[in-house]
Parts: sequence; C-alpha cells; structure tokens
Amino acid sequence: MNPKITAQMMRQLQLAPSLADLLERVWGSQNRFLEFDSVVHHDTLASHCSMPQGDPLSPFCLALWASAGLRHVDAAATNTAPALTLCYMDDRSMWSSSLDAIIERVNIWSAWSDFLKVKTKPKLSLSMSGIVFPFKTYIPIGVKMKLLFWVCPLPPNDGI
Amino acid sequence: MRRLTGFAGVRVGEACLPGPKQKSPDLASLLSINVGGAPGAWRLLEENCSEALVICLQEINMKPDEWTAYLRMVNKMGYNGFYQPGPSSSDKWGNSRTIGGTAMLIHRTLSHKFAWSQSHLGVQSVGVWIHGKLILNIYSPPGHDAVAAQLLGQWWATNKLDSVQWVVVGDFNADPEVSSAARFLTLQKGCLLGNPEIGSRWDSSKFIDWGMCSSPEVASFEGHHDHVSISDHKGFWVHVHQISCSSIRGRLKPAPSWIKPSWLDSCEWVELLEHSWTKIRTTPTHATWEKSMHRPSDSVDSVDVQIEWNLFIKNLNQCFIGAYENLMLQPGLSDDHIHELAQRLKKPGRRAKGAIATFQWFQDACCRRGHPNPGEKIRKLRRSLARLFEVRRLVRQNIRPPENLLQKLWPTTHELLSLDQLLCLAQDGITDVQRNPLKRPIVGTLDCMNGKVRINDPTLKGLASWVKRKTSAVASATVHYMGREASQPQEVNSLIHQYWTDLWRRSDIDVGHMANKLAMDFGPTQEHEWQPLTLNELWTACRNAKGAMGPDGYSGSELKHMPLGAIGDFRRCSLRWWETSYLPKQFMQSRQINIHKPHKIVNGKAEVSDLRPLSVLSCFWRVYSSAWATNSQLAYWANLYFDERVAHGKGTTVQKSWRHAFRTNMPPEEDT
Repeated sequence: MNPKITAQMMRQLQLAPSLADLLERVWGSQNRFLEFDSVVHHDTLASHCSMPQGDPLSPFCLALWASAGLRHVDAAATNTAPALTLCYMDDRSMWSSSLDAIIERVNIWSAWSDFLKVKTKPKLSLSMSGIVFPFKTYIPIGVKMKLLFWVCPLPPNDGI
Repeated sequence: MRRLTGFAGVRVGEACLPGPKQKSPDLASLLSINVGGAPGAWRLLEENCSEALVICLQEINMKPDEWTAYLRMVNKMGYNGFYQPGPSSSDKWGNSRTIGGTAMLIHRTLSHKFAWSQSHLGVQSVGVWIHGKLILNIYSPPGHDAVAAQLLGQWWATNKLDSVQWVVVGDFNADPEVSSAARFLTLQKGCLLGNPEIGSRWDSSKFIDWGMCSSPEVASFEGHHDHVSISDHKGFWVHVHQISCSSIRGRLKPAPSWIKPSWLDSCEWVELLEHSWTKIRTTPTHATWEKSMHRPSDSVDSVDVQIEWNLFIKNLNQCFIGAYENLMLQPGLSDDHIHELAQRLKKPGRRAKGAIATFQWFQDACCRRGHPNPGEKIRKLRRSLARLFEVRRLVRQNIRPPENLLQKLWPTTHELLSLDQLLCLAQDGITDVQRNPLKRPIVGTLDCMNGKVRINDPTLKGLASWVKRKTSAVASATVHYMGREASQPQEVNSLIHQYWTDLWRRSDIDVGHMANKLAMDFGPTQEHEWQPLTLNELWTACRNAKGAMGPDGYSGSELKHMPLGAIGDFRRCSLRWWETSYLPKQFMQSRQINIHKPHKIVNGKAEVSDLRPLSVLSCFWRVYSSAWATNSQLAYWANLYFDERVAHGKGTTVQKSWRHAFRTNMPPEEDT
C-alpha cells in the first residue's frame, strides 16, 4: 500500500496532518538493508511505495483502507441477501446465506483492489469461492486466515 | 630474547594487518565415504564433518523423517544437504526400512546448485553443480555394477555432460578394472581418483570406493581418510580444483549492546541510568543540544534536525557508558560481575550505536580443510596482541608509544598513564589474552541463561515458541527468480533485491486520484485539534519497548530502561519533528529480514515471492509510532469513524462483531 496515498488520504480526512507528513517521510523514503541467512546485501533497497509491516501504526493505516473498502462494497452491492464481511488486518471473511451475494462482494472487492493497485491473492480467491464449510470446522477468533467465504443461514432481521 | 626475523629499526605507527597473511587456496576438499547407515552419518557430524567443504555420503539408510532431523543439524553446521533415498523394504516384523541412499552436503560458502538425483533399480545417485563442475555421488550395492553404468548413461544423456567438467565419486562395490561403470567413465575420458594398491575398507584389500574426473586438472586424489573410523569403509579425500570458497560476508557495522547487567533488576538499572543522566546534563554536549533546541522551529532545516538527534544519541550513549563505569566502581562486586561489565565496556563500535547504519564487508571464519581462514575474531585477537607487544617493546626502551596506538588500547585513560603503568597494563593484557584467547564471552553465556529463563516462564509462551522452533520443518532451499537460482545468501539477497525493484518499478499510480477515491469511500469526517504526544505517552511507550534492534543498533531492551530525563529530551526532539516534518535519517533506514515460509518450499526450491519479508525499523521510531498507535486522540477518532467490522488492534470493536456473528449464526448445541 502506497504511503503517499495513505498520507494524502489522512490529510483529506483531517486525521493528524502532521503525523501524516511524518509517516509519508518515513515510509516513502525507506532504505532497506536486505538480510538473508544473517548476511546483509551490499546494496540497499530504496522503498517508496510500501507500508512497512513492522511499524506499529501500519495496522491503523491498513484499517483506514479496509474501512473505505468495506463501505465501497456495501454501497456497490446490489444483491439484497444479508451478508457480513469482517476484516482482521489483511484478512477478510465473508458470510452470507446466498452464494451469489458472496460472489458479488468478492468481485466488487477485487475490482476495488485492482483500482487501488493493492496486491491480492487471486488464486486463493478462486479456490475458496463457493466452498461451504461445515460449522465445526470454523476457525476461532484470532487465528490467522486469509479470505474465507461462509455460506450459512443468517437469522432474519439481523440488521446486517 | 633474541629476535627471530626482521630488523631492529624503529617502527612507525603499527602494522596494518598483524599476523601472517593467509590466502584461501583455489580448491575445495571433498570427502567421499560410505557411512554404513544412519549412525555413521551422525558420527561424521560429531567429527565436525572432518572439516570438508563437500561431503559425499553413501548408504545412509535414512527414512525421510530421519533425513529431516539430520538436515536440521547439517544446516546448523553451515551445510546444505541433498538426499536421494534408496528403495524401501519391510523386515520380518513388518517395519519398513530404507536401503542404501546417497547424500551430498555442501558448505554454504561454496556457490552451488542442485543438479538432479535418481534412484534406479537399487542404485542411487545425487549430483550438484559447483562452480560449473558437476559433482556426482553414486552408491551401487554389490552385484549392481551394470545398473550403475546404466544410471551413469542416463546422467550423461539427461545433463549433456560431454562438454563439462565432472567428478564422479562413490561406493561402486566393484574394482575399477572390472567395473562397467568405470569402463563407461573411461570412455568419457575419465581419470581415476584413488589408489588401487590400498584397500578402501579397514579390514579388506579390495578397492571398491573410488572416483573419476573428466581431466587431471579438475580434481586430484589426496589419500584415504584413515585417521578416524566412521564405518567399515575408510573414505577418501579429493581436491576439486578451481573452486573458490567465499568467506566474505556483508553486515551492518556492529555496535555494542547496552542491556541491563544480569544481577540488577530493572528498577536498580533505571536508577543508575537516572544518576548517570544527571551528570550528562552538565556536559558540554548536552549544553550544545540545549542551545540547538532553543532555536525556533521555523529557522530549522533537515540538517539541524539531524544534528539535534545525533547529539541526543551521543548523550544517551554516554549515559549508558557512564552507568556501567559507575557500577564498576561500586564495592562488593564479584569477579564475574566485573568481568561482565568490562566486556560490555570493551565492545567496539560505540560510534555506530544510534548512528546512521553503514554496510561493511567482513571475513567470516571458515574452519574447513584447506581453508584455514581464521575469521574476524582471531584477527582481532592477533591485532590486540600485536598492539600490546608493541607498547611493551617501546616502554622497555623508555620510549612513550604513539598516542593513537595508546588510544586504541585504552581509549579513556591513555593520556593519564605513565610509562610504568603502561608496562604493567601491557603485560597484564598480554597475559590475559594468552591465558585463554578463545574463552567463551560471559555475555554469550548470559544470553543462553536468558533463553532458559524464557523457557521457564509460567505463561508457557517461551516454551511454546521453543517447541515450535524445534518441531518446525527445515527451511532451507534454493531460491528462484526469473530463471535464476541461488543458494548462497549473498546470491539470494541479489535475487530479492531484483524482485522488489522489478515489482515497485511497475507501480505507476496517480496518488491524488486514488487518495480522493479512498477518502470518498471512507466517508466524511470533522476537523479535530491534534496535539503532539505527551511525555506520559512517550514514557509508557518507552517502558513497553521490545523487539529486535533496528539498523541504528538500539533494541527494545535498551530503550525500556531509558532514564526519564532522556525520554524528556526524546520528546523535545519529537516536538521538533512534529513542527518541521523533518526526521533524522536513522528513521528512514530499516532492515528487511527475509525468511522462508516452510510450506512454500517444494522439492527444495522456493520462489523469491514466497519469502516472508520482515521489516525492522529504528527502535526509537517504533516507540514513537507505538505511542501514537495507543494515543487517546487517535483511538477516539478511530471509534468515531472506523467501520466497526474492521479490527486494527487489541480491544477494537470488531471483536464484538465477531462474537455477535458467531452467536447469531451458531446452532444452540454448538454455542458452548
């Protein structure tokens, strides 16, 4: 995710503009020392278009993107079947009683990601779509999961 | 004392490279041995692999899971391993066992690439390319000589070996004079490696372990491995020529680690640092920093911000050094404590601590046969001995040694020392170094002890990570990218660099357009008054600091003990950043540590894109960023505007959404 876009977005949302400037400076002009097997590469890697995973503010900024994405999907979805999408860091989980609703949402997510040049994992999306998981195999909260589609009956008037 | 060599003239300065010069020879030592089963293979590891650079093992009889455990040990010793198991059979109790099998262990300092492996009718072979030469290891059980020849034919047909240099070694269980495999290799213009007059087993005169090479310039026979018995076979040595072993490695300039002395608790250590900081506040460096900080922010540029930060780091470094020195003066310290403090103070690289990271090459020790490269540790020892001897020689002649030489030996006290004191110190230093030059440093021992403490942690966190590490699959593989393959770390780094450069080169984006789109999707927000971090917030973040050191050499365990005064100065620096948007260059550097994802390794190969990149930023920036991440203003804003279905940290609202989703969708009987 491009730090310049994140910083610009923060300024537009009036979210701590001074902090946005600092983040843009730190993330947008990183010189990385590459290490493999305790050996450092002699040439630094100039990184200007990625958010460092090891920064404590990265999850916060990622949540900015995810919130925008979720609201975009809500606004663009036409299928009226109840559906729920939850985001935990870079993982998304989608539930619905309708497979069509899930597929539509996945497609909207993918188009949105492509537009913003966010790197996604298309293989995972293809392999997982449409698979119905039995209840007992559901992964508990907090466990790492990527993109999980969940087709199950949602209670009526759930408000989702 | 009589001079052995050289002239009795007056030396100027000091020798630039004390000790004899040693150039690594242009060859690799290869050991080929039939280990007669897994115990023999393990015995060879206990013998430090006989210090060979390339090891060809035959008949190791290991099942795949046994090989995994073996490979883990092999990797720890600096080798990469390649294995071709033999066929499986069942014994009379129904237990399956693997018969035969060949393996090759290649030291990581050699640039190598896996070629091919094949098991054919009971004969196994495995081959590795090293510097353009194919090294092929074969095991042919008794009576399988014709099959071995057939397998060699397959190798030649598959890998087109007519025009390349090759070395074939192994246990053929047949004399080369009558062996079909030997005949085949002779037809390929092969030269024999071995001595037919000496039996290749301890209790037999039969010559069945031998090798061949494409020409005498490629390799030479160096004798049998007859000083250690690993199995019933002796094994033999071959020198493969024109192969250079690279022991030069890259690293960031090292800096000392100033962690809490082992016998103090955190409060005592912080108290000592506070005391040291009060002294720092009276120093000229701190006065310069104060003067700089009083300038208005609108007259400050990026250079000034850098200078302010460097001065702060200098003060902080001096605070840690002062605390150690004060502690040394305290009465009642045991010898071990004094030794620990002395080691910490003696660590070189003070100038690199907290500074902008710089890359440097260094020569790693490569204690392999034929490559007696002593490595940096021994060279440092020799250098320090040379300096001490030089001081002693000059003082005995009643000449004061050059100041730059004295400064290197006793950086803080050299100006105050008289000739008598210098002589005593030099003599003590020589005795100390000579007594036990390779004694394990006490700091390393303490690290081991800390590891044990972590394992015994009642939360079981340390134990769990230890078990996970022990049971995890071996993550060692050759790395691929765009048709290129790399096994040496330096080569892998080049591929990683290439991959990320290519990936980011393609990203051509319209920042304004995308930011508009994101802000529009996010929804409207209201203007807020944003205040910089308070001292309390930064203090909390400092005390909770943890994690590995950034490129500037400071780690979480050091920052968490920073004295309050230093945190106050840190905050004043951060106010400057807040007002000017300039930051020290240290924060624009990071370490990207690339590790294998074990489940992505297929057939010993992995793609560059499948490596996990972990970024480690400067610890000071991490603390600052962490203080913001837990800041109440940001939390308030997040509660107001973030979508509740998004989690971004502990205690966020999404956890409630998850719980709600589970409860509403789980059938009643499952909701327990």
